[in-house]
Amino acid sequence: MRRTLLFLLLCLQSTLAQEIPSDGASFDQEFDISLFYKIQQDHQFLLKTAYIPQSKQLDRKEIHLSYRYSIHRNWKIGLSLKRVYGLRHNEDWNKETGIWKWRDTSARGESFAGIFLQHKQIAWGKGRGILKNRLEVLRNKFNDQDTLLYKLGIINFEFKKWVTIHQFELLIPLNYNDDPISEIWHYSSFMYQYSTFLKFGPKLSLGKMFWNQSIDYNSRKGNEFSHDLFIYRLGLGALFTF
Amino acid sequence: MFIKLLAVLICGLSSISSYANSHALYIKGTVTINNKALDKNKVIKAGDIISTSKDSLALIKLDTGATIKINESSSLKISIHKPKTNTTLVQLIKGSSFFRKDPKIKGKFNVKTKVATMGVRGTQFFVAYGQKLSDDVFMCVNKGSVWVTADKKRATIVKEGEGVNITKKSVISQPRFLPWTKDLNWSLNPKSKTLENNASIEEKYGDPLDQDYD
Repeated sequence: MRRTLLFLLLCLQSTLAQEIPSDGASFDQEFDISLFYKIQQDHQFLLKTAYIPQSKQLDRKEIHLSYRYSIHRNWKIGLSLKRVYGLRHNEDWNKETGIWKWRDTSARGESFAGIFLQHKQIAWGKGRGILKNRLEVLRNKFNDQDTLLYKLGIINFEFKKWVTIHQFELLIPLNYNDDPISEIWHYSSFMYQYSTFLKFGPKLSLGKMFWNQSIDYNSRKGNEFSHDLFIYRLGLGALFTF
Repeated sequence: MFIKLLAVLICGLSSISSYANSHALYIKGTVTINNKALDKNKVIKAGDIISTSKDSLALIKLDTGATIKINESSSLKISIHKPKTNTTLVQLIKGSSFFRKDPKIKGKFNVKTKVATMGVRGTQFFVAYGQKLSDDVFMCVNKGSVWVTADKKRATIVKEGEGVNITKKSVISQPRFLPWTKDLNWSLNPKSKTLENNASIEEKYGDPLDQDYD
């Protein structure tokens, strides 16, 4: 009797494992280049490209253009446009080919448009430490999903040649997901100030991403799944200022 | 009568001798004093205007314990120079200069610009006009501290590693920490390999609030 129960339990677990993506940890990399171009004292553009090889997801490619305007020494407003390949959404978990799996989105380009408000203030040491707050509303034109993105950062200018940036980021889905949070991140960047023109350095990101609400899963099973992935990401970034 | 003449003569000689060590330590390119070429033997005194052309530089030492490096395309006037009391007032007319006051010598060393007056409390600081004379004046301190006043009523103290902007309306910004100012060539030693300052001098460059990273 016991053996039969154990066998049934194992069978059930195996079936569920096939139907729900397994949680776990992903060890990823990131390489990015940012170009800041100041057209006037208060008007600045940023062009950024990033390549993110991921162990548990498809490699992600991003290109990002943003414009920012200083309305005050402490305040900036900005507009951003982004094109991303390789993103994974809830609805990408499906059984199109008879088995449950994530859809291949490596060739699928998605466009984002966003608007943000940024506040910076001196936190300590007359500018040695800066506190940054940024709130951004981002719309994904591909699936009309809106996300509220909040960033809280500390920028440390304490060292003559190095700038350290520690940033906390929260992605709050506005019109999708059951969970109130879709992603939570911590970034630490260490930028070597080679010159006024070039800064570069390593970065470490730790994050957690959450998925649920698959249309296919819901239509077949009548309920939702929950899946999360813990991400460790090591990166290298270069920043050019014109 | 003879005694009076002797007294005047002694005073005059004393005055000349007190200026005797105020001269240029280093000259590069075209440097003038009162529109005539400056050489190392020329004695510098109150009222003199020293100017540098493009790619030129002058390092001068005054008896009052002040050393000044006048950068290219700059001009300054020695408005007051009293070696007996070690009092110096220099007026920066255009361009930029590095200033150092010997801390062992007591006395006043003030620098005046069109928008503010600065007084040395410690040892070493830098003052620059923007690219245009109508731009802000920028000042930063390498060692010690400097007071800055625009109205002679209130003074802002700028400490080591900090800098301020002074607008054409004589508004002094809050002092802020500017690590890049360490990259300026602070050397005032005539035997240095190079005295030229090649570091960027953009007053807004150093504003940490203006620098974005994402």
